[in-house]
Amino acid sequence: MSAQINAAETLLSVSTAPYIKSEDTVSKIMWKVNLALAPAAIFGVIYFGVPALINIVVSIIAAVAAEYAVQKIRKVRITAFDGSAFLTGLLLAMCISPEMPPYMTAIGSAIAIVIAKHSMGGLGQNIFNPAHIGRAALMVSWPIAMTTWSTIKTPVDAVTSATPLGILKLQGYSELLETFGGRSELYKALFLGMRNGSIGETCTVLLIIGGLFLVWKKIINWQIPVVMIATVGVLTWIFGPEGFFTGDPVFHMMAGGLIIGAFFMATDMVTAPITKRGQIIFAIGAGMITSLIRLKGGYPEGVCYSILLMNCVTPLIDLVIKPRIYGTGR
Amino acid sequence: MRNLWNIYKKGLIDENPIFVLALSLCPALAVTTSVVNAFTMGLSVMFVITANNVSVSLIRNLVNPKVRVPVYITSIATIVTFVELVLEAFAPLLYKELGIYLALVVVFAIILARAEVFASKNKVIPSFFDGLGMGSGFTLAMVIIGVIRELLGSGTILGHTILGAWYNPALIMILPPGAFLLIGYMIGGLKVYEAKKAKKLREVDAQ
Amino acid sequence: MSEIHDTHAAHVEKEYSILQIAMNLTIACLVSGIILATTYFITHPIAVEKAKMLEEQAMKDLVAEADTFNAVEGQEGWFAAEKGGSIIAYIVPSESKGYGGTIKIMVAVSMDGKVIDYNILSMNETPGLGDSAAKEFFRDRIKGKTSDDLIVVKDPSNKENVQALTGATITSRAVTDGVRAAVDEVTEFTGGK
Repeated sequence: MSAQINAAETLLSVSTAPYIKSEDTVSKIMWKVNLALAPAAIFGVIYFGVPALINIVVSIIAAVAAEYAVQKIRKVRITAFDGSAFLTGLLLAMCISPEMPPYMTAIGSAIAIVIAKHSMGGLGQNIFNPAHIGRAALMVSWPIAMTTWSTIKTPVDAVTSATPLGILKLQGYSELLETFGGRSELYKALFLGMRNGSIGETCTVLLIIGGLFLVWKKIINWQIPVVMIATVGVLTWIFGPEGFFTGDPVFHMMAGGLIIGAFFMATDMVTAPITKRGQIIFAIGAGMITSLIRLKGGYPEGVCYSILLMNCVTPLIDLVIKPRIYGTGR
Repeated sequence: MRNLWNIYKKGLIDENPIFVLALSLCPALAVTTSVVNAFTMGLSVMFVITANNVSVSLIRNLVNPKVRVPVYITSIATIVTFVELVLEAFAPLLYKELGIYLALVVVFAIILARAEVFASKNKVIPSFFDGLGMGSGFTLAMVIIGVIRELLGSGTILGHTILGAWYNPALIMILPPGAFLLIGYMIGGLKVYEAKKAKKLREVDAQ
Repeated sequence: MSEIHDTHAAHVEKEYSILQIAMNLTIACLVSGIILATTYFITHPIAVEKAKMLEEQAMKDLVAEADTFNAVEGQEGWFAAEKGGSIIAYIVPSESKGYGGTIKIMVAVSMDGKVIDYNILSMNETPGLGDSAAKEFFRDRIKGKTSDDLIVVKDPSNKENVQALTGATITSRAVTDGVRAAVDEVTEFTGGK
């Protein structure tokens, strides 16, 4: 009598690790981040008009197409539709002026995917945040186009084609207040997005909601954005224009690409340190460099470069600050 | 004769100083913002490396091995200074254009490398052709890089506008980051080509 | 047996005396020195002459009507452009701090305190942006202006002052300030006007 194992009678089933599975795949995470960015992106389209929409669409299509092409040429698995290329394209578009000629946006997007992501080894291997590399490459290549903003009307009906940080850098704080009609008007404009800037960086409230969504879904830690934004606030307050402690931290914390950078780009799990302590160091460093560039540097905004510079330092941080091995002493 | 041609030829592609040996990348990055600059620098280096190879080969049996590097450097420095003095007197505008990079030719790795690797161990005429070949390969590489950088970064070649006013030049190409990326990808492309060639040779051998 | 032979051979190898090494180097440097000295002797006078010619050509480009340029006593680097015996302009060196370092300019100032033209001798500004400060179209914005008008503005409708270069405000300011300094110096030298 041969032993017959009737599958229906199995009482124990043995499988291999991992035994505890998270709901998330790379793809699901990417699409959740895209979802978190959507409100601010839609706001940008409504506020800046059709050029913004074109740039967003072109950027995303260029990113996905570039990734597809590279993976096809290299004869590797096609992951172009997993949402990460979509995310890079979307982020890049949200960090540039709505008046950018679409072909430049497409080139920047392609650079981000081909050079910053795939030449470094593909998803998970890149050292630098691809969207910011794309933006930095565009800034170097076409500086005039990258600093040409829309012409908008501020709440007090002043016409301006400079960003708030641009006005601050070239004309000073009092001129800035005049353009917006006073401090509380300035803060309200920044908070609600009634200001000039890149397509997706302007509406503080929607970006924060998106960021909180990501924190709730445990996709990012709250430490990086909070610490980075707080660092910028503290430093810009201390090193004010008329001496110590005369700065305007509320303005600086909401201005420019700080909110979107802190929540969506400094938190990129590939290019940020692994440990929480490391991430805090990363956030402080990024905050310091941003403040330095804003206050003393030649550019009005420094978030893009600060994050890229801290990306350089991430491997070093990970080397020095090792995660605690489970079961060993503190 | 065949042998001399082989000696000359290897500097052009198989052992191209910039794309294969990866020596003297400094001028490849710095002086290739326009074709004219790239070509002039290439010619200067070709002159220096050939002259130096000949001179090192001539004195190779007289040089004490313990001080051969200082002596080679002295030889290179003499030749470069000679070129500087002559240019200053007979082509002062060119001299100003090259500026500091002409003096830097002294430390280009490729010149010292060829002196050490080839000229110190070979007769004068082969050394001459080796220098000429390496110099030609260097100039060829420089001009190729220069054409791409000037065309994409300024829309011109040799100062003549090729891409019309519709072209908004990508400034990154005339700045160092663009040079780094371009040269990197070109070295990579050459490696892919060489790997495919080697693979084909292996397949032919296997048959 | 061969071991001793080898060490003996090795020992002989190392027998280059300090004198031999020193002689080697000395002769190399001597030969180099002779070659270079000879070359210098031949080429230097020509180089000096050429340099002077280029300088004169550059000044002629600035002040086309002048027929001679003479150094001004007591003012280093200054030249007086003369036509028919009387001074029509002063050519003055000036420096200012630009975006990427010092910008050196030669400015031609007319006797009534206006900028005739200027020539940028050296600068390290951003290619494609700041280095347009040497181009004709930007020089046209500065030519003919007096010291009071030499202020950088960004308003396109303002034709009196100097329009900034797009994306290169710092460079524009630096060049304009350098030119204005030269104009002020000439005005002071000629007794104020």
